[in-house]
Amino acid sequence: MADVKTIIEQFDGAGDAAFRVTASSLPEAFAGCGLALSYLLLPGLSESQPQWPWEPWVRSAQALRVVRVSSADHEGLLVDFLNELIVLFDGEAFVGRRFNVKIVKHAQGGSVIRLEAEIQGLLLGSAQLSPAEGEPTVIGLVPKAVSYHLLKIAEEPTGVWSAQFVLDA
Amino acid sequence: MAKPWNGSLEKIDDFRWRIPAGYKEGMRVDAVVVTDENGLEVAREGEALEQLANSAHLPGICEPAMAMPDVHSGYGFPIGGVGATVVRDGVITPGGIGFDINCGVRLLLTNLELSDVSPRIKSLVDKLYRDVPSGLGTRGPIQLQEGQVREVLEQGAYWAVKAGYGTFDDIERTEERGRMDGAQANAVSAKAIERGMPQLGTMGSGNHFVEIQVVEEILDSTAAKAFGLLEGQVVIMIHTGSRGLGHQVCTDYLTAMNAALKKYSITVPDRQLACAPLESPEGQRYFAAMAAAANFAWANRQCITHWVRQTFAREFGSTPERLGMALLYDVCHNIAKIEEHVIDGVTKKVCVHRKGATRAFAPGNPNVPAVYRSVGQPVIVPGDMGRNSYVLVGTERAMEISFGSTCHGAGRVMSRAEATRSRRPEEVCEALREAGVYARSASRAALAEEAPEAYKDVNDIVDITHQAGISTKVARLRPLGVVKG
Repeated sequence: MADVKTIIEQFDGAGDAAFRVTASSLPEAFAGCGLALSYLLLPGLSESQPQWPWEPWVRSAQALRVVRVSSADHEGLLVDFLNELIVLFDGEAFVGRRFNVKIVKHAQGGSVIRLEAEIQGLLLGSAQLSPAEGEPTVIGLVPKAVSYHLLKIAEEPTGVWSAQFVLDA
Repeated sequence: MAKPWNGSLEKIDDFRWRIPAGYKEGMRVDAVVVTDENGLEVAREGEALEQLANSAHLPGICEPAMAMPDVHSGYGFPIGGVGATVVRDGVITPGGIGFDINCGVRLLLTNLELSDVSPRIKSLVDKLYRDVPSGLGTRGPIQLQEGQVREVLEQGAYWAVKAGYGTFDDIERTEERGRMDGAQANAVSAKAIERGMPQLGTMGSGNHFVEIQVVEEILDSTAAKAFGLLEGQVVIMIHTGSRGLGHQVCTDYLTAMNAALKKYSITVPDRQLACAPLESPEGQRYFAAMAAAANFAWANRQCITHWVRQTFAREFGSTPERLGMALLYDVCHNIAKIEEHVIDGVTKKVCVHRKGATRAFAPGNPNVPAVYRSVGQPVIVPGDMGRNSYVLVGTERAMEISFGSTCHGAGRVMSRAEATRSRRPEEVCEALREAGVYARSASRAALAEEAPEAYKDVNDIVDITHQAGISTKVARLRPLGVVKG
């Protein structure tokens, strides 16, 4: 495992929102991608900050969700993982804040890569989702889905993992 | 900033430019952009023209792969892309339709005038903000059971009207009469259905909106009369699609199509163009699911139409009938349709993919509602919040050169993410108020991304469209107030 801090960069010129993430390991890269999506949904969110400014009004600040996906390759796994996060926001206004990702490769009748992520996050309430006049609008860009466009995930010779994805919003 | 696209372009005439099939290995046909010289320079920025060339790789694609005047970067196809594939041995690709299946626009008429609405615009927009839910991360006012979603998937707008959300006359004025043939609920995944259960009658995010507008100028009096449009008349534009259900259908079938590439020995230059032969089991199943998602979108716009009518009726102490709130027309701009077109003098059955492009059928076409058939199909083109929108009409020229297709909007020049960083939503809101447009949104990004510099000027796009002849101007509309998703 490379000894680097996860870096999340947004880049322009491709689609509605595009991100590059570099991290010390494949699971950390996936965690960084999940966090990138959360930053897009809630621009005021900070992983390091103990409390989100509007946290007293959220439905729950300590919600826990588990995501399990599998795919034949890392790119497919990343698309499926991020799409699950979009579904969590779409269905119950859940935004992940801390991601604990495990990835296991199986070779049962062909190679299958499985991901399990425990995600701590926020459940937003109606005040955030449909703010009254004069109240702050806190929701940022809400993606529809993750595309395969410019999708990349790879291990560099240094042992650092990098991932890149483009969202349709 | 990436370098402008500098591939080979040949001028066909003042409004068409060809990327020859030899530009890139694997292109099966030429690609053509409908635009003028200024528009071409804008189109060269970003990835749109490379994506157009990529779309020309699809097996069975008819000459040419096309881009409309509002073309800009997308995923797989560019947005503004049109690709017709031969039904018998061509393919269908979710990347030629988009995630928001049957994203579309409808226009409601009223007999109200500017003077009736101007003093009430804040009240109306505030009520629409309350009554037409964005549906962001939450539930809409209609909670469907799984079986009801399956009915919506197969019946479309007809389901909504039967349930009391609108009139049968609305159906007559909706593309495909709001119910696409070939839809099969059993081709839609359980997850997609689950996502759809709380979302019927919700607007969603992105560039979706309900906008109150006034007819600023009539530009074709004959067509305007047929469409029921008058100068100074207040109209309401509704822009939304198939919500999470449609996004899930696209996501599900992109995975399936990526697997199908190997099975059918198809090579495409972008995984987002993953496809399968239209007549294969995978192709047929995707078409059935896409049509079902399209039906969900029509039902969605139909339900929102009902909320809008109710809101206006309450505000004016009247009824939708007395307010003249008839539907002018509903068009979809992310879809694939089986149509017949004359190609090289031969009538062929083709699957026309329109991704950010609007059908624009000519006068006399039997698919145009009888009430409009003498003038042609209404085409509704939304602009950004601070500028105009348009009503156009379909033409014979569109049938001849663009598979009966035209533009769908202004077209972005800045990604949504860039736009949200470039302007604070409060600034955009203030600028809109100065321009006489009152706006409400649940999302910061939804307002900021509408900064005028994020879009091409729709007036330029429509001028090009009109001069190229792929649809012609009927009326220019000006926004008064808007609710954004």
